Amino acid sequence: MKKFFKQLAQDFSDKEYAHNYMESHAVSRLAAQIHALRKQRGWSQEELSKKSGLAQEQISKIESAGFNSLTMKTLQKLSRAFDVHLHIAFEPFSKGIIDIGNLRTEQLEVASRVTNLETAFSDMNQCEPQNTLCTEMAGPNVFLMFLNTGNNSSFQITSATFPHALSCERSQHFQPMKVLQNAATNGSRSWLK
Amino acid sequence: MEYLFPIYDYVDAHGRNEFKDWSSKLQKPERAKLNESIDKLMLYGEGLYPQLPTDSEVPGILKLRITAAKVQLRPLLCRGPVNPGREFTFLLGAKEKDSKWSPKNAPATAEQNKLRITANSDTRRTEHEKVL
Repeated sequence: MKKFFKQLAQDFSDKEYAHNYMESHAVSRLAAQIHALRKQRGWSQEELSKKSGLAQEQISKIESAGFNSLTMKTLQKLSRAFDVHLHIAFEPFSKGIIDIGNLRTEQLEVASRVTNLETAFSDMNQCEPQNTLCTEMAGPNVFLMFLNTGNNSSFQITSATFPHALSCERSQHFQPMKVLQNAATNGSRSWLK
Repeated sequence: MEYLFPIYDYVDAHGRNEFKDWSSKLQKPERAKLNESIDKLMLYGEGLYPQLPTDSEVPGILKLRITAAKVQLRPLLCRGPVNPGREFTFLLGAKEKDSKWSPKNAPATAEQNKLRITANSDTRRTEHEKVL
């Protein structure tokens, strides 16, 4: 796959070629995902039409990638019908290339809101096997994050709320004394005493 | 290249890759979209992208549906024909406008090309040649 990525990166030295290629990929990926989400829920196109308010013919056209543009409104109707979050963002070409080469059906499927939220944060306070993150509530708004390396020598204290803490701690590895100094700087003194 | 599904192009009796010739005459945006579809076929075969490929009116002849600006590209291909479950062969480059084929009777011509490959796969097809 590395060869494919490198070759595509080379092909993309031409701006017009690169954008047309990736625009085509965006359309076909979206079509494939809408098809996958519908199949995941066991719905026919008719059923998706009823749930989304879109015509069945339009859904058929969307799933066959026979469209050049989709409005935000249409995407929102679909995200509500599937009950999933719609994420739209600009990204570097490299990420798009990797997406082309590493796509699987499982990546196109998305759990609906209720199912997803029931399980998404349920194991926050349970310790995972080695080299994974554990969290404990150590005081008001203070979460003790463990990078469990097996000897409890690495951890991070933060005063941020959980989602923020997770995003900034995931790749960090602190020695205990430095952690305590950082915590003091961050204003977590009330917990330290 | 480490693609999962090898792709081939039909060559005529003089060894000329007609599909490559057809691709070379496309505009750059059309070629980009064509190559994007072909790369997906090479990487995933059928299944991940349900629209890739679809049937033509001739049994055993498939088509890719590529919309580029106001042009409907319809490159014609088949599964195999040497290893039907594991490879694809491009038989003819074609376009479609108002349900009319260009060249005329493109799917029937593609079928003839498929038969020529089946009769002589050593000389009547080559590894796919991408045109940037």
